[in-house]
Amino acid sequence: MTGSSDPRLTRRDALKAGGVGLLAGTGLTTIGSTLGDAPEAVSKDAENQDMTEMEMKVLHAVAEVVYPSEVDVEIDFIGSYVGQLNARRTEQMQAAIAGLQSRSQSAYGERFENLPIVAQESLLRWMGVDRVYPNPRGTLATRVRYHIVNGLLFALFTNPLGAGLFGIDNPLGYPGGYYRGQDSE
Amino acid sequence: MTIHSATQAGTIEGKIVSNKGNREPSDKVDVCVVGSGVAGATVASKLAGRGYSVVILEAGERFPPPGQRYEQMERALRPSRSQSEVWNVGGERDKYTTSGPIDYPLNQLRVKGVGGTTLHWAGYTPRFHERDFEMESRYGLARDWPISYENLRPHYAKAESELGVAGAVDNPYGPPREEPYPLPAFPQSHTDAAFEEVCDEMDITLHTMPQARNTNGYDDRPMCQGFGTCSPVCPIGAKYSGDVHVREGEARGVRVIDRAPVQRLVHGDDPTSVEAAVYATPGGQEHQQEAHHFVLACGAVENARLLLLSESDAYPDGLANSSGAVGRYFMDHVYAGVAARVDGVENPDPLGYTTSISQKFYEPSEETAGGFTLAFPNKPPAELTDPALSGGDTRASQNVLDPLAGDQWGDELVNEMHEQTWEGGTELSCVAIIEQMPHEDNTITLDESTTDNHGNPVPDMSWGLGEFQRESIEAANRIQRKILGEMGGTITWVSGTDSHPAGHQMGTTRMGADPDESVVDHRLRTHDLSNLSIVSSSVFATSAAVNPTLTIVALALKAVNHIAADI
Repeated sequence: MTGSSDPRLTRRDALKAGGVGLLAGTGLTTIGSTLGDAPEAVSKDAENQDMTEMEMKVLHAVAEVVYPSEVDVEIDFIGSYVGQLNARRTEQMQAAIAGLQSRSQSAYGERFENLPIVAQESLLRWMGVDRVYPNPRGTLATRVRYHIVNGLLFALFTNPLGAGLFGIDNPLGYPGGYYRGQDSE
Repeated sequence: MTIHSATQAGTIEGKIVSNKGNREPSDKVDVCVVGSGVAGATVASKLAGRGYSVVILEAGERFPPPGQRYEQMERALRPSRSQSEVWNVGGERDKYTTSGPIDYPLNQLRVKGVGGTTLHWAGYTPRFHERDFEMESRYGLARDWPISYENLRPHYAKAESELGVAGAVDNPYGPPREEPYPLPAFPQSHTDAAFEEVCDEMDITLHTMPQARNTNGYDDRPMCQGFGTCSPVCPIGAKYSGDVHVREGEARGVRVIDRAPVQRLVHGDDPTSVEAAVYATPGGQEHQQEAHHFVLACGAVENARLLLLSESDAYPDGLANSSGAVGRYFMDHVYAGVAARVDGVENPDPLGYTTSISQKFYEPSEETAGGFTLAFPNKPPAELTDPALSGGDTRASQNVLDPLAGDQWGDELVNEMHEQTWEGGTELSCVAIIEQMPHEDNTITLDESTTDNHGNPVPDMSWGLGEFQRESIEAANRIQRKILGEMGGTITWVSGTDSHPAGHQMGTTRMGADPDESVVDHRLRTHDLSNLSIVSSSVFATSAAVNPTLTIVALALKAVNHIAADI
C-alpha cells in the first residue's frame, strides 16, 4: 500500500541521514549521549551563555531530587537539554539557579549542591516549589518550578530514559526517527 | 457576542532574527504582497525570480529559523503553556469576536508571522478532485469555479515540487495525475495495517496521505526525525512551512518588512487601481508602500477584513466589493470522528501525523450527503510531559489541591503516573474531513464596537454548520462506528455535531465568472481593480473535502503567470 515508499528506511537510517543533513544544513551540532543510541540534536545559539560548572551541579542536584530513583542521570544528559535553550531561556534559568542558591545560603549557610539530598528536597518544598503553578517570569518559586524542576522533567520525559519507564522508546519531543517498524531487522 | 483577546503571547522569548530596524517603504516596486504565508511567499519568490521588485508586508514577527525552534516545541509540550503561545498568537493585535452559532477558535487556528499559518499546520497536501470545481454542474450545489481541475493540474505538479510532497500514486479514488511525488511516501503505520484489514472487508481502500514532510532530505531541509510535534511545530524544518519560500525570495531580492500590519489599501482618482498599501510599524508610524500591482495573501479572515477596512467613496461597502461577496461564504471543514478502545492492537507509532486515508466516500451521494475523506490518525502514546510536569495530575481539577498538598516528584511521581495515565487496550480513532457548502450567512464582518491595537474594528466571525454538513457528519460517524466495531472496539467517543473546525478558513473573497456574485476572476484578479490579486483559500468557491494548502499554492503559482503578464 505504501507504493514508492522505501522499505529500507529505518529509525537508524533516519537518524543517520537526518543527523548528517542537519549538521550540514541548519547549524545544528550533534553531541554524544550516554543515554541511548540516538544523538541529541542541539541548537547552538551564538549568544547563548554556557552554564557554569556550579550551575550544572545545581541542576544535577535538583535532578537527583525530582527524578525517579530508577533513573541514574549523568550531567551530560542535562547539558544536552540546557544546550538547546535560547539565550533568554538560559538567562532565566541562570537567574532561577542564583535565587535558589541565595535561599540555600540563607537557610543552611551552604550552597545548594553541597547540601544532603534530604535538605535539598526540603528546601525546594519549603520554598513552595511543589505547590505553585510554573511561571517563567513569576516569583522565585514559580520560576524555579518552571525553569529548573519542570525543565529537568521535560528533558527526562521527552527522552527514552524517562519515557522508557512507561514502555515508550520514542516519546513526543524526541528525535527517535519517523519509523520504527523495522528496527528489529 | 464573544470577544476574544485574552491569551496574549506575552513577550517574545525567542530571538528575533532580523528586524534590520528599517521599516520605511521602498520606492515604488513592481509588486507589494500583503502577508508572508505560503501563498504570499510563493508569489513573491517566483515573481522575484522573474526579475520583478517585490516587497512583502507582514503583520507578525520573524521567528527563529528551523533548527532553532526547540523553544516553540517545548512550549507546545508543556502543560502550563497554551497552544497559542507557541507562535505568539493573541492579544490586542489578534482580537476578534464571534457571533454565530459556533464560537470559532480563530487564534488557535492561525499564525501571524513570517511563514504564516503553515508554521503550525499539519502538513497534508492532497489535491482537490475534478468534482470540487464543478459542484453546481454535477450536483446542483453551490457554484462552479471558473477554472477546472485540468486548468490547475500542471500547477498542482509544480506545487508538489515546491513543497516537497511525500506520497505514493496509490489512490484509486483520486484525480488523474501525471507523475510520481517528489518524495517517497511514509510507510504504513502499525495501526494503519489494523484498519486496512477491516476496511478491505468493507471494500474501503486505504491509500497514502500526501504530505509536505521529508522522507528524505529535500531542498536543503532535513529528513523527518520523528519529534512527533509537527503540529504546532517541527523544530528542524523537516515539515515545509512558508518561511521556506520567504528565504528563497529574500535570496532573490524580496524585501520583507515584518511587524508591519497593513491598515488599508488606498486607490487614487482612478478607482480601478490600488495606489498604496498603508501599514503601521511597532513605533506607531504609518507608511505607504506604492506598487504597480498588489497581492492580498493574508488568509480568509484578514483578506476580507482588510478589504472591508479599505472602504472609500467609490467602494462604500469595502474595496473590491461591488458584488457584496467580500466576507460572505466563509467555510471551514470539520473533523468528525469516532474513537474506540481496541484490544490486541499494538500501541500506535508516535508519529504525530497521519499516514493513511481513504477517499472512498469523496463523491456526494444519498448515503453520505456531502463528501468526506476518512483519515486514520496515528495517535501517539500518552503525552508524558503533561502529567510529569503536573506532579502526576492528569485532570485540571487535581491541580486545585496542589497549593495545600503539593505535587509529587521522584518515585511518587512515576507511581502516580502509572496509576492515572495507563488504561488497558489501545485507543484508536477514525476521523473524517467533512466538506462544507458555502452559506451566505457564514460571514466575516467588521465589529465596529471592538478595535485592535491600531484602533481598527476587529473581525467578527459568524459561523455554523448547515444541514448538508450535519448529514455528512452523521454519515461519517456511522461508517467510523462500523469500522471500529468490526475491529472489536469499545466506542469511547463520537464527535457528532460537536465536531471541531479544522482551521481551513476559506471562501470570503470567492472566485467566479460573474462579477455580481464573486470577488476575483479566473486569473485571481479582483473584478473591480485591475492591479489587485488575491492568492488564498479565500478565493475558493467550494471547500472540497480535503486540506486546502496544496490548492492554495497551485493557485499562487497560477497567479504568478497572470501577474507577470499584467505588470
